[in-house]
Amino acid sequence: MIEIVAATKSYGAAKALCGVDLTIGAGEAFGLLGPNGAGKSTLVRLLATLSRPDGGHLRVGGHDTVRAASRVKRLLGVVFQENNLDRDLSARQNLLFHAGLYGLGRAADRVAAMIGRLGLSGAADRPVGQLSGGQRRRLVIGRALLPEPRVLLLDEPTTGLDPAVRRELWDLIRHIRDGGCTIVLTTHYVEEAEALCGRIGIIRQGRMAALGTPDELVARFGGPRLEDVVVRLGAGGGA
Amino acid sequence: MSLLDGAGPIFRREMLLFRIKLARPTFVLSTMVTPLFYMVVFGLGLGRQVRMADGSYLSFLVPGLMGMAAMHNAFAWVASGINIARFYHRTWQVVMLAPLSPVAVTAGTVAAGMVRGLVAALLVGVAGAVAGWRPSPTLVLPATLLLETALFAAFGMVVGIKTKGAEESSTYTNFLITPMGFFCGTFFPLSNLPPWLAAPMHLLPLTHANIALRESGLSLLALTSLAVLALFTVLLCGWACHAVAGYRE
Ligand SMILES: Nc1ncnc2c1ncn2[C@@H]1O[C@H](COP(=O)(O)OP(=O)(O)OP(=O)(O)O)[C@@H](O)[C@H]1O
Ligand SMILES: [Mg+2]
Repeated sequence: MIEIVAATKSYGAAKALCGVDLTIGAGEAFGLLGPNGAGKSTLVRLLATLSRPDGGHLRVGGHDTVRAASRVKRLLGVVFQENNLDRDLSARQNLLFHAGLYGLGRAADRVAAMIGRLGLSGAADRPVGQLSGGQRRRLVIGRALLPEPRVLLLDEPTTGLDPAVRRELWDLIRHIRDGGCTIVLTTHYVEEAEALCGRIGIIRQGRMAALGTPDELVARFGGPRLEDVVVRLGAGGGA
Repeated sequence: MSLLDGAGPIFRREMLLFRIKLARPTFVLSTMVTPLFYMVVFGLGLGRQVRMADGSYLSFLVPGLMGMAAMHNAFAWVASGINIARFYHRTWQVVMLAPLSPVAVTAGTVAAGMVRGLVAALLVGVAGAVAGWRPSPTLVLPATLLLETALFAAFGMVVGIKTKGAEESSTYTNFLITPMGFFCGTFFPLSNLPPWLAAPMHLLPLTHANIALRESGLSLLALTSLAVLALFTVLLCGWACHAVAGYRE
């Protein structure tokens, strides 16, 4: 479903990605771990068609993210690291706007159903600026789900949230995964990647330092736990 | 997918945000304060000494101030709106990720900027009417304001999309938009300028807005200036579409 070949991206002199290769199958949930500045968000922006790679290419559902960007957009739901919501508008208005952008039929019904599914019924008509961090995060995820994307990109979906809210979001993400949606998720929480993702990539300084299932990674790089592998590879050891 | 799918939702969202702004008492005041200062200082203060060929100075000044308010507000609402949406709220990215044609994004955004500019011009017109100005009953004035707000909203889109932040955007306001307000015939007829300065001013859209705004009927002069404004509108909307299509981070 996702094919990344030798993708590079620089911002001025800073090399954010230096040749990433990655293939993710349909229905797979893939976790991307790595230290701050490793290039996770850059990779998400490239897949989302928001940035162009300097070299290499990326395909989503067989479509090139540069040449067939509008086809890629139709397959994608994207949750960026920041909660990019209209804070003066309500949760419902934010969702209705999104439904409009995607030309969804029966928008009011769909939005109402999504609000219920997200557990935001009590807060749906308050300005988003007044919602809690957990409610806003649920809202951006729900918004991405509204057009029923085949591929969901989640950039640090649970950073800064309390453990209870994080569990709720995990349940939501599991539910999406079990519905057959392909998921790419970046995170700093090793247990999150273990809980949600079948395969994990560890990225460091714009390069894929390791790739495999949690068990494979522990076996290959020596544990005892996956977290030890991530710390070691993130710091530049291993491989 | 039709070319305009998505323009409606973009426009309606902007109107929701605009309505919230309108409800705040500071909005009307801050939109009005500069034109009111000009009207008092130039119109009532200096204006008593100024003799115009036809009519009072106030009847010359008010249409100019309406044109200036229309330009400023259409441009600034769109340019700073996009800047804030790109760098602060990051909601611009939501629009860019939706499968929309650049034409739809441009149409919805420009239409919203037009509303903002027209409301500002209307407020100035009402203040002018209170001070004694009477508009001539033709459609030239609203037609001019429609084209003027469209072209400056489109230019605001280009600036909002192409600049690297609010500071760079304000450079365009300080070095292009505001000077146009002073040199394009808002406060005095271009014929008062030396010819070497007046001639290049005819390349700027606000000059033609000012000419048309003061015509009382569909004269040849008014038609020519409206045609120039229409040309600017088409070119700038095309440029805005191009900027949307090429938007990348
Ligand atoms: N718009 C930009 N302009 C300049 N440099 C950038 C930009 N975006 C990212 N970078 C640089 O690219 C590198 C990768 O950044 P990226 O945001 O992809 O990392 P990340 O893995 O998402 O980090 P974090 O875990 O902190 O979110 C960093 O060195 C960063 O400074
Ligand atoms: Mg990041």
